[in-house]
Amino acid sequence: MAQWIPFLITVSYMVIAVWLGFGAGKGRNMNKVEEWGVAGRSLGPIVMYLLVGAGGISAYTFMGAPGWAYSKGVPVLYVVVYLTFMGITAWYLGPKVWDLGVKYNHVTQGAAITHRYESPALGALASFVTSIGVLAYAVLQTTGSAYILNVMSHGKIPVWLGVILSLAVISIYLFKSGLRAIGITNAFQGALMFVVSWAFGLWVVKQFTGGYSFGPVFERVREEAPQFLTLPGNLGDMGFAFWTTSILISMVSVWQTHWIQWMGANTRKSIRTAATMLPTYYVVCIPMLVVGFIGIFVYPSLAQADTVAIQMAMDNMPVLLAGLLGAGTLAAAMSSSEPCIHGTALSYSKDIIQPIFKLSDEKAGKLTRWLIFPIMGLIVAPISIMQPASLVYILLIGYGFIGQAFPALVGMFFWPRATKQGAFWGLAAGFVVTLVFSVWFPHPLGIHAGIWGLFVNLPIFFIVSLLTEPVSKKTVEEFFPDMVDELYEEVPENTTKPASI
Amino acid sequence: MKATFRTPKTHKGWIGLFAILTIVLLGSWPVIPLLNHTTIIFGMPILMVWSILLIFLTTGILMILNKMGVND
Repeated sequence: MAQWIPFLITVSYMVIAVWLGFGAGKGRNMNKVEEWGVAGRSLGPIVMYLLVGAGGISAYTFMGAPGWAYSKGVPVLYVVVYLTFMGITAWYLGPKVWDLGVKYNHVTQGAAITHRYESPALGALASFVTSIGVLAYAVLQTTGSAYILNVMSHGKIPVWLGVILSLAVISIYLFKSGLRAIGITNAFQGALMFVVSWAFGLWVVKQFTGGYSFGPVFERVREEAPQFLTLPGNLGDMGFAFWTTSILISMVSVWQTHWIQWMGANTRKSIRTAATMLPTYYVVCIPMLVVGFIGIFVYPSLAQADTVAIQMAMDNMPVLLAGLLGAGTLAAAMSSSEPCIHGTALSYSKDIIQPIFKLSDEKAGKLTRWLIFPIMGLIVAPISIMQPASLVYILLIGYGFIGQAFPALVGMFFWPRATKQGAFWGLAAGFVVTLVFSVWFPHPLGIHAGIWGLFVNLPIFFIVSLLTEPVSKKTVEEFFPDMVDELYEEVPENTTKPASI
Repeated sequence: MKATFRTPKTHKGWIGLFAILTIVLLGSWPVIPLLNHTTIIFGMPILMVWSILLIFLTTGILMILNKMGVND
């Protein structure tokens, strides 16, 4: 019977998540995009902190980070640094995005792009292509959920059933309560992950060293395998250039899900406060990384590095802690996949379907939350079950595109002269370069493919913009009200006229 | 129409931008090679200590910028 306790704890977590998420939307009209999509812009700083924090910690981080520590060593710390720096991006851009959203009733990135560049086609294209990466990410998380359910049930729940179960759980509260459900469940999941990570990490350290200090672990690593403690790491694949450029591309990649989460804040101050504190959440990674380093000695020849933490839990841990780890990992997977499904439904409805079929806001609002079912049933579930080998490529392509949208955001907040042609051609060129340098010639000179993409994207963005017609003065006034006088300043006539020949 | 960029309009804004760029540099190429050795501090590799320090430094700097009222 004791062997089933971890499974029961994991299932209990799912029941609590459904209960919390289902109740979150009580008394609200979820047929309105403002409610289902952005929680009526009502989330305070604490929920925002946990919403964004937990959303940043995926199953990949929770299981994959100890795996990286186990196989590579300190290169894994780039994850801690980039997550920290994403707090800076949220702090800097979040309030600006929120202001625009409130003023012009945008809820998605695509809507803001449509407005800024006066191009519904560009908004729809951005919505569709960014959704590739977002959905590939949701698939990975769903696969992670199914894997945890499979392990915790001792193989009784096959992967296909685990996929259906985890998506069914998410669909109940996501349909009922939208972003409010994500907010409240992520708050719960975030707190759970924090507790589980530290309890698990400290327990493993105690088992391994007899105390709670990390010191003896790293002393031994230094003595027996010092290459784990410096870059480029044990596998020799993380030089300074790749460390730096991986962090930079992550910093400038603004996901649709981040955008929508910022829109859900009740005030711009809430975003600032949450973003200011956000880096502190990522201390959650540290004990899990130490577990990975301990794995170097406990499992010297593990076939799959990513399984090091869960293997240690199942082999040695008291059932209660093993169950909590299962619940924590499932929380990490679900808290990352549900914003992706929600964001894609919202974006498809508002940025693609509504403009094409000219739907009213009311009709689009009703349609939006129903879209989670085809997205889950026709895209996420089948791909999660089939696990095609090309998924990693789809993910790389998707990530590549998200990073390449950065110049379009520069044009939205910092450069009024940017045009739709500049944004489109820069993005297209950057995307192709990122694709080539991700798949066929990975990361030349140790520089991340996404940064190579931006090297090409940015000059094209600027040059094509300067060669094409700027957007109307009205739009410039809406996005850059403080710059209008300067931008359209009359130049004295005698200095503008060319000298007659 | 001019092709001007939006830049910070106040001294506070420039200080904010400079502070952010400084944090980013502290976590990347120019600084990380200086810490790339097997030294253990507080029971952890120096790069791990530095990453944790960056977490609190980032939050600390953002808190100061909030107090200063940096908005642009």
